[in-house]
Amino acid sequence: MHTLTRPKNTISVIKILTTVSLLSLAASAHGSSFIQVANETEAAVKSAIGTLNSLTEDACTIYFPAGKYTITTMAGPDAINPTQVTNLVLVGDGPATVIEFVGTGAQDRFRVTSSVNLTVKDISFLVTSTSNGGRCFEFKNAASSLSFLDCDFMFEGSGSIKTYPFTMDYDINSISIKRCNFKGMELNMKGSPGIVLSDNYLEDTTFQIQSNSGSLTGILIHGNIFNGVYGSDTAIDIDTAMSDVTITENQIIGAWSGAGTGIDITGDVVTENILIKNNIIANEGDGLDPVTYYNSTGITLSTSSTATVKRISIIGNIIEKHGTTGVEFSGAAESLIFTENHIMNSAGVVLDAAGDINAIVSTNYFANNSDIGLSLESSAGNLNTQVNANRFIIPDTAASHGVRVYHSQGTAIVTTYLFQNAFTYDAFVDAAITHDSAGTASVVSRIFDNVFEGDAGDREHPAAGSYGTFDIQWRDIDTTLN
Amino acid sequence: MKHLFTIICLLSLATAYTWAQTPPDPIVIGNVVEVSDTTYDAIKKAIAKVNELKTGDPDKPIALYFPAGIYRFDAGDVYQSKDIEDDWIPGNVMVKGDGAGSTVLRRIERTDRHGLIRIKTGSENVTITGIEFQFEIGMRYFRYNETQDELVEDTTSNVSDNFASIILARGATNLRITDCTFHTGWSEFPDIPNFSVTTNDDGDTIKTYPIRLASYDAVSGTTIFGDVSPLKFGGTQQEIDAWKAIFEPTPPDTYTEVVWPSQPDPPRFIYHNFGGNDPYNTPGASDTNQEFYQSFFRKQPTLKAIFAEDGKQIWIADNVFNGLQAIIGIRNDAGDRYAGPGLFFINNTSQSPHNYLVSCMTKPLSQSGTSGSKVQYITGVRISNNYVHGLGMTSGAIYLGLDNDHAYYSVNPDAEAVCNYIQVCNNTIVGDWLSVGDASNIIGIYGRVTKRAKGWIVSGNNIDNQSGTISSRHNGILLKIVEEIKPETVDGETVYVPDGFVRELTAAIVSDNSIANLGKMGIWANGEYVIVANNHIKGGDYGLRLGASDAIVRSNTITGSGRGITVGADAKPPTVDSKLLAIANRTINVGTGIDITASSSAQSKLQFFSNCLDGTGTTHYGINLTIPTGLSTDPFEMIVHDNVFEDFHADTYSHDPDDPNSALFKSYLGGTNDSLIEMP
Repeated sequence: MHTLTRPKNTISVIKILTTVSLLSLAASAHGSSFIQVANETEAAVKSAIGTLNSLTEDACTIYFPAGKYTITTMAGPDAINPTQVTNLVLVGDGPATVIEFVGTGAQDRFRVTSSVNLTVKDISFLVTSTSNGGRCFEFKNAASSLSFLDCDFMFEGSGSIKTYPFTMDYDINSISIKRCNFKGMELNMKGSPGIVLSDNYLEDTTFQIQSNSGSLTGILIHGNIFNGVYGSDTAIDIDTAMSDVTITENQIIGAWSGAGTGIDITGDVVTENILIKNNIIANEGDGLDPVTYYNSTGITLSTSSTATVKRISIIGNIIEKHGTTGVEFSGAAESLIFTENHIMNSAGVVLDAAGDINAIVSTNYFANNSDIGLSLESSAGNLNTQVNANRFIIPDTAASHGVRVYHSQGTAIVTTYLFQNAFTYDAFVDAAITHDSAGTASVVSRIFDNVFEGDAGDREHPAAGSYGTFDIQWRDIDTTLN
Repeated sequence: MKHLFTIICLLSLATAYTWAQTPPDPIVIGNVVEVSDTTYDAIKKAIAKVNELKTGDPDKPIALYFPAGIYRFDAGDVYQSKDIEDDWIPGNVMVKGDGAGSTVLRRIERTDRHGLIRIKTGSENVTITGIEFQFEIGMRYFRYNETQDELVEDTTSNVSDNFASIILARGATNLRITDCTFHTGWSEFPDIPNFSVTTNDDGDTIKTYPIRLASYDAVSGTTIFGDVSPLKFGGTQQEIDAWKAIFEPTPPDTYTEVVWPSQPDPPRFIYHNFGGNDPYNTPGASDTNQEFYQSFFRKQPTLKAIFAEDGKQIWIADNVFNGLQAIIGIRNDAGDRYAGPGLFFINNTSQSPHNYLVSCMTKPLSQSGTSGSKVQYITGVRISNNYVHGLGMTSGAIYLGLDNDHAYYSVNPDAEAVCNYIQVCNNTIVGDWLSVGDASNIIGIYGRVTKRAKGWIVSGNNIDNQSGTISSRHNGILLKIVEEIKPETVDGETVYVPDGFVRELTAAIVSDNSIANLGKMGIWANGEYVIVANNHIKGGDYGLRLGASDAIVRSNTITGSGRGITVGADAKPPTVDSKLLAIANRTINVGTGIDITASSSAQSKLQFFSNCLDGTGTTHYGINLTIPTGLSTDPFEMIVHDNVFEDFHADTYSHDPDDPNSALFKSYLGGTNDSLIEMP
């Protein structure tokens, strides 16, 4: 090693702060708006909150140095309820700052009772008991900004997986959760407008969005990796009327433990501008078996038959191994685009028109599904579908249609334009394309220029049902010109 | 008394000397350990303190704090090897600085173990943030090739890649590396300048490179730059000796820096004292004068910013990589290996990465097949929203799948290499790509298919060489199934045959990408159930190339490429059937519209519907079909229906019905295919 004259380091602000903090057994304020929790005791945490609540400035940072803070009780007076501070930051030393909630009371958590805007960064929260509701934070008032960045929320208790990091009695305007790590949680959010969940890792965790005000607008769920779906829960569950929802580039993978669902959107009165793009939703099961169909569902969207549903786009998703349904859309949709998706080793795709649906289904792979690849159904409404440029790889199993057009009841019109698709099959036992009806539908189909490749079979099954009116025209490609 | 005073003075001096040589103990406040000064010894003391505080309570959370300053690592300043790890950083630790630029960890001398931060294998809950890592020794190694009469880069420099990392974290769970900067001088290395040629009074030719010399004072740690001095080759022996004399006074263990001029912030390159004193056993270096002139720059070809292998729940986010590479993947040690799910490489910025910026690789076996693990499984990877400017030698931006040197399943057919559920989205890979050097390819996104892979999405990426020189080595997106060849002895001679082991890529989506100004390949995607849609491709010998695939190709635009859409067995592997549904694609000013090579060992079922194909004249065909010799089965069926061909060869379709193989083809030109030919 060379002998060098090396510059000494400068003394940092943090060093000064931490040195000063040794002089105080209680929390101390540096300047007017920086509070460092003095030690790992519960009393020090409460002292810091007390100092915060009495500050006269409008912004404050509470710093939790590395350590394990065990919180047993947080009585009402311990709530975060500053009189002047409206912008609060809680920051720690990442995984080296652990705040563990062990209390059993309903209030034994961080309670935010003012309308303070809050940022929480670099803190690891640990819940070992669900007896306090399993919560780390409780928000008792409206706020306009809430951010959780680079935090861990870990449930390490036994028994029920149901534990919630937050509870919200009011909608929060703008919630952002980024690069956090959740394990064994049910992440329940109530906010509008503006919920962002991005780049998080969630293990056996349900992300549920609800609303106190009755509607949601502005939701971005992007780039998260969900590892496993617990039991019959749902990874992403949005359950109310909504608009402007973007769900992109997420992965919901791993070995799901039961009949869970990847994405479940239940719209009510108004549902519009929904984009679900480039997600991977795969029930890996044991991870290496390529053909097992698991009892799960990839995507479910359901609306009431009278809902105003517009502009639904499901694009570029990979959906695999869902034995219940790959994708099911049930309800009404003024416009639905379903393109560039892979539906593999699942129970196919169902479009069920309870109300009227206008849909484009294009450039998808329907491969090796255990049930109908694409089922176009009308239980009550009109169904108008354009099906183009899809590849259907149909396995040699029962009920292995490529496309089924089906009407169950009512007097609606089912119109299908099915052209330039390619079907590959091996000695299937049913038709590549079939029409069926149990009602009095008026079925109009134009089936042009499709390609069928495989062993001899009933590639086009024009009218298995005996009800309704069928107007079906076929045109094959002229293959006589060489 | 006088002697006592003398003794006291000596003791005081000794104490002072000892104090000067020994850094103070780290400052410990609660669970925060602060490095006491900028020496390596101080760092080691701090790490030792972290481990000491965890004695009896390994889960105790600790913060290791590097205050602002420049922390120097010399050649001997290394942590223990991987088999010991006692002085590595354990889990449940945050390693933090005061921000890149303020807290700097700098290695100034090369060593076999580079790591500046080493996390104990299998650690959980670690964050590294706010630190700048610098390597001053990132160099390229050149030789003067007398035959070619030019500087030629030597990419075979025998530098071990063991531990060639800045941050090493293997088997980690819940690891975050954020807001750090990784930097070497490598990244800003300019193109090799042309030398000037002069003749001396004796008529000897002298080649002069504009290089500035600098001296490095190892004692003071400073660099003294000299004037611009020409580095010369040739000339008389006297001139050579005079030039050599510039270097030779440099004693062993020190070195001279050589700086390329005309750079606003020039990277420094260290000239090592050859002539027998090369401390690093540079390949080719010897005591001879000839070797002296042939070896004067050193390259560090395998330096990695981050090794994060066998881990899960890993975020590498919001960092700056300057000429370095990050690895998130799998080790090649024995035993089953798993990585993921939850590997995030997001929101990073890079300048001129050496090798690939980020690699997520399986390495199931060594090339000889005698080592490595049998089962390797990567799942749940996201590489998104990164910015890469400028690609350098033998490099690319993103590398997925099977490591180049580990493909020989034939040695162990039971080996498994699985790489599932990968998203590469919204990355920007632009800038002037290097156009000189050896024959290796430069690739924006390279997916090299493992034995089993599925669920890959490559979408929304922008790959553009911009105004850089277009090279035939430049490629946009390659998702390739590569059937390796292996040597066999037949009749006493070595022949190479395909290894015969199937590699699968199932369910891939390549969509919404924009690729421009590359010389060789826009998109090459082959696999089973591949969707290629809505991509823009400009230039290249190949626009969109499907090898042997089952694919849907829809709504792509291809402009100015040598071939618009290429299908068939000219791409490996030739034994896999090709199925293609190509609809509503648009070519503009391409050479050949659709180029097809039939396979002698597999079937092709191709459909082209409603494409609009525009060529550049009458030389090339709208559809060019190549029939291999020896075609003996019924391999080929093609439907061309309702397309438009414009500005191609008069016949549009190259297939000759009189060809003896024509009976093996079923080609249907139907619907309203138009051929709008502009005859000369």
